[in-house]
Amino acid sequence: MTIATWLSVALVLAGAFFFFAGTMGMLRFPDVYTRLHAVTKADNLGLGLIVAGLMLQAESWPAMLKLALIWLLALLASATACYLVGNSSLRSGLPPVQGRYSVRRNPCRQ
Amino acid sequence: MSTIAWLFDGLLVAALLYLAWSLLSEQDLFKAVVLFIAFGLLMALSWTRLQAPDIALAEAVISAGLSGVLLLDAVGYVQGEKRPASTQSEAVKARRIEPVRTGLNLLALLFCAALIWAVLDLPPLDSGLSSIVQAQMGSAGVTSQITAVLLNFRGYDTLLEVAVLVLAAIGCLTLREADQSAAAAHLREPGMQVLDGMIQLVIPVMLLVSGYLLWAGEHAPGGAFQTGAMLGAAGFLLLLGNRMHFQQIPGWLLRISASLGLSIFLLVAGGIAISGRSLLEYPVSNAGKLIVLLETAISISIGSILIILFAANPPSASSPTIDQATPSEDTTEIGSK
Repeated sequence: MTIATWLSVALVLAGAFFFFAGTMGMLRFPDVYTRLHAVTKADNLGLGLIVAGLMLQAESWPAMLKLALIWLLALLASATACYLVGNSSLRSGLPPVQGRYSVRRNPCRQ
Repeated sequence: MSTIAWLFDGLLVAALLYLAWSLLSEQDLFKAVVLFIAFGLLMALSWTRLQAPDIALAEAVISAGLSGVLLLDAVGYVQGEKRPASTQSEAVKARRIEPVRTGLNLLALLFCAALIWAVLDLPPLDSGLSSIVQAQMGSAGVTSQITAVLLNFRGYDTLLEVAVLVLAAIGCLTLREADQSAAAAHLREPGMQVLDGMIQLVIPVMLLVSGYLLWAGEHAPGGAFQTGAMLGAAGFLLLLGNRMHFQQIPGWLLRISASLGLSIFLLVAGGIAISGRSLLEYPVSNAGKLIVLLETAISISIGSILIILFAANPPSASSPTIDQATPSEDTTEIGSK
């Protein structure tokens, strides 16, 4: 295996780690806002790392640019969706969980 | 490597079955729709694994994207006017439909068994009709086999499909004109600048991609249905972001763009029939040009039909009906595509 292959493996694994972290955050965090934070930030970074890893394996320049474009579009869409969900949650009066958080008082779990 | 592929496919099938089960047993309609969108995405992945990129594209855009939006819209509409029902009558109703449900479940199980039997009965590794298609590609006018089948060899099927879509759009527009009381629940809150900015950036890319899909359909995965779905999605974004107002789109424009594909299809079929050939038997020398013409017209039609399906109901209370709408210059986004 060449250095480029090893580098791709490392980047994709790092990306998978961030996806895992983001998913854990979405499952474990107490309210919409922290969950949004976990999902959008960690997943965007994870996708970026995976795309970078795949770009090293791309056969041609156009393929590399298309992969980069996919990441940029996903960034744009997820940032906007995050803002819209957060904004409409706040406007509909969903309070952010503040102070010390305990699992027993989790409002998202009945 | 093949172990990993087997593992991946196994996980995919298990996830699909699990999602199908949970979306059918989910009581909360909103959650069911979200599960349905996830199901569509995994289906698209499955088509990719089966090396059917055309179907994967259509599945991703239509099943996961557009159907998701339409269903969410419908859920919002249904739940807005939900009446509180007494629990006693619910229980009586449930007891009454129980035998019907059991019967339907048995029928579904029988159908499932018949399907499994049919799959097991298939000859192993049969190439199906692809060798026949391969042999006829010289007369198709395009180099993509899928496009050749859809618009040339089996053009009749596509003609009828487009007709069904036009009928659906007509039904939607008819309902819209009947019900003018319900108010459109549209996003008019402050803080729409972010969505606005995204729309400004994304719409040109979407138009570019739909043009690419139309062009690629001649020799690669792509074609009218994917292009139309992409145009429809762009229209959804414009509607949701208040960039395009359905009530202000002139009626003639809606009618022309929705029926363009069917009209041109019928004209082509009629012209060919008059010249002494059978209904959709294109002359070999012009087949390519005719297919490009049809694909362009069908794309525009599918895009506008999807917009009609999404936006026609519920109407805004204060808006004029489609016939009274004055044709204005600034709302011709659909036509310019």
